Amino acid sequence: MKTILIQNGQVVNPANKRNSVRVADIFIRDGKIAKIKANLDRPGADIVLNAKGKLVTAGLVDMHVHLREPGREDKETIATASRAAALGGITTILGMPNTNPTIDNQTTVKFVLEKGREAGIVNVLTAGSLTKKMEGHELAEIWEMREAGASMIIDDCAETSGMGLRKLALEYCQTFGMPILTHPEDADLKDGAVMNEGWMATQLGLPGSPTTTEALVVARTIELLRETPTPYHFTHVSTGRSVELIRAAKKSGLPITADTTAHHLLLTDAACANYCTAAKVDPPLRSEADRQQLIAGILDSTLDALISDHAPHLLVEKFVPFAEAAVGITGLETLFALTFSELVKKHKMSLEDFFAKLTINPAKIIRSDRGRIEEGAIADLSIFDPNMEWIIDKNKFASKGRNTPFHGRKVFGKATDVLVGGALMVRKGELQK
Amino acid sequence: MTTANLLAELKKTRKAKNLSNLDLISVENITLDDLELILAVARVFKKFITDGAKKCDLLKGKTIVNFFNENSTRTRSSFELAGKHLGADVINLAGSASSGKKGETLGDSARTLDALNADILIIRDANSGAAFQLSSLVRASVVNAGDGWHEHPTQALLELLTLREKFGNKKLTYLFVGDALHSRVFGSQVRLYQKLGFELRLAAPQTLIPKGVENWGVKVFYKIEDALPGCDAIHAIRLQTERAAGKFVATGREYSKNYCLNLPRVALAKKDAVILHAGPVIREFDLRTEVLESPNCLVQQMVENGLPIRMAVEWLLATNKTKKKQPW
Repeated sequence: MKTILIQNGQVVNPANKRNSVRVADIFIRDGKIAKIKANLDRPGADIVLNAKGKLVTAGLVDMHVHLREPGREDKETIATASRAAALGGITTILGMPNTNPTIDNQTTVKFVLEKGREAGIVNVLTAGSLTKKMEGHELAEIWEMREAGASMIIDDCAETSGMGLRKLALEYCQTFGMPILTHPEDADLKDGAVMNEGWMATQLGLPGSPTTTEALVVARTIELLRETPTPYHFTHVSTGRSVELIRAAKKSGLPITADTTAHHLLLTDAACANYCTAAKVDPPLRSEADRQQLIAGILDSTLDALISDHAPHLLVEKFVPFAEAAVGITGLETLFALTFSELVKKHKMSLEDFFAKLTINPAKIIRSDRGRIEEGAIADLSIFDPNMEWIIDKNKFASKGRNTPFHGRKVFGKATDVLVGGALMVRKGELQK
Repeated sequence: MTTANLLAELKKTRKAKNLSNLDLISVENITLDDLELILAVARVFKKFITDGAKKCDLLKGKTIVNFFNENSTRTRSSFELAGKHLGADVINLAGSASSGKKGETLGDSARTLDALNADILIIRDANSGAAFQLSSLVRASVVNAGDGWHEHPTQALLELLTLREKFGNKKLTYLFVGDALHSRVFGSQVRLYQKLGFELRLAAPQTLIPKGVENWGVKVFYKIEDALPGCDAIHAIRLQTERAAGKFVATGREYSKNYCLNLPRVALAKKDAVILHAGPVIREFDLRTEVLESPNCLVQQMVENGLPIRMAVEWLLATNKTKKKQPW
């Protein structure tokens, strides 16, 4: 395996409290980080990357990605999602189980992991479904899925509204230490809604989903966790009230973590104006007040991670009337630039706090050894040019998805070089495979 | 009135003006000048019709396509008759399933429709935004004949023509009663009357009040009796049971007990207050028969004004000097 020397980069290590951002060289040998040191004297490295003026970080970990394979390879495959991830500086992705067939047993878990290895670009992990076929009736074989390599288990509340099954799930997962991730949404309250409830929905004449649709499930789940405290993660938090509930629950010591998406941090339901189906997403884009609370939640670490919730769709699923359009945004290639522009450039968030939410925090939540930049760690590394200004062009995505409300938006920051397990996958912004 | 006289009268009224927009999707796209132009032209057509004439050939050689994806008899017939009176070729297309369900995009549907070389496309669809989304994809001028819960602009225009006939340009105190949440007619009226500076009120249970309705300058009342004093006009909105509004009230019986317009309630409004309804009226539920048949009820006039309003809109759009750009 080739040795690589990364020179003069600004190395960001959120785990290193005293020296989290410093200029240093990194030497990579046998797929691992051999040395991190300023002015490292390593002549004879096979590949030398000059990272002067750039950020060198652990490869990003995106813990919420819809891979679409198996079943909907017309929308995305594990290989195309892997390519999109690498170009976005993301080296580990966690697939969601709402595929066809559903990832609800060891066979399908192994299929996804194997397909990820076959693509051989980034680390492809998968979550399993809490219930058989995601129907919300009976527990799936979670224990066996865990042994087969599933990272987490998803409780998709749209299907599992009953609290009885949820309580059993907490106790069952506590038995063998499986973290649960939930999409908090009350199906009964949602009741056919296609966007956020409020003035924009009224103007468009579309049924809206109130913020309680999410906050109520968060509140009820927190009460269950008091009885059965097992690692629990709320994904794509969209409302201010949920942030408040999670903040208070964390203070009381419950093992709760949470994330939000790039689009919920940057957009509001105003993006749905003119029936823009690219902005139709689940949970829906909320109000400006909610958005501000999400930013506050990220800044004070109530929210631990940033995700893309990458959800590629076909043109025919979005180029239809709003109410009939599919929900979701293609996001792997824009996650970094969008959040970096909003949080670091605009809100002056520190680099170490920002990258913690894209590397070490999600890695810990999904029990992965990645997301770390330290000697001895596996060399999953991304080099970002923080000053590169570029315009998002959906037609240039490596993903099959073109559904994004960010097309044409000017952003800062782009991955120039990406290493996965010590192999150079992206060089000068180009895929090497 | 002969066609030649009609044309001369229309030209005099129009003063070579054009509508500022090549589609009629939302009242938001109508300027106050547009509004006066439509009403003035509609009055000329109304006179033409009431004088006993019907057909003229002003739009001879033009094609109007009624594209109705939702059941409609009244609105479709009104648009159809308006087109035929104007001498245009009118065809009706009824779609059943939405394009997406057939594996078509809106763009595919639009190109198929545009291949008919229509000058005007009248669109009715159960989906809010359908007419808007199609309008930028076709060369024809699009008229929204009702989209989901969103808007139904000609219905608001015909009511305004009716109100002008009774009250002139007076700024009215206007009360909506009932299901504002699911009503596209409300969606167009509220935008129109806000533009005209009316004092707007809504009496309905909280379940039927759209969120943020106060942004349209609407004052909300739960008790109809509190809302009525001082009103010039009262519009009863039909409970949109076909749009699943049934569960928003306990029973029809309880709803009508609290919101049905009866004579004692109407007596709380101004003495000459008028009663309006976009039809079809559900008797004894929206309106008591004695109210519906009272001299101040303008429901029949509204129905009659539908034709001249739609003729005015179709004529103004089809003869607009500006043409839409080739969309594809």
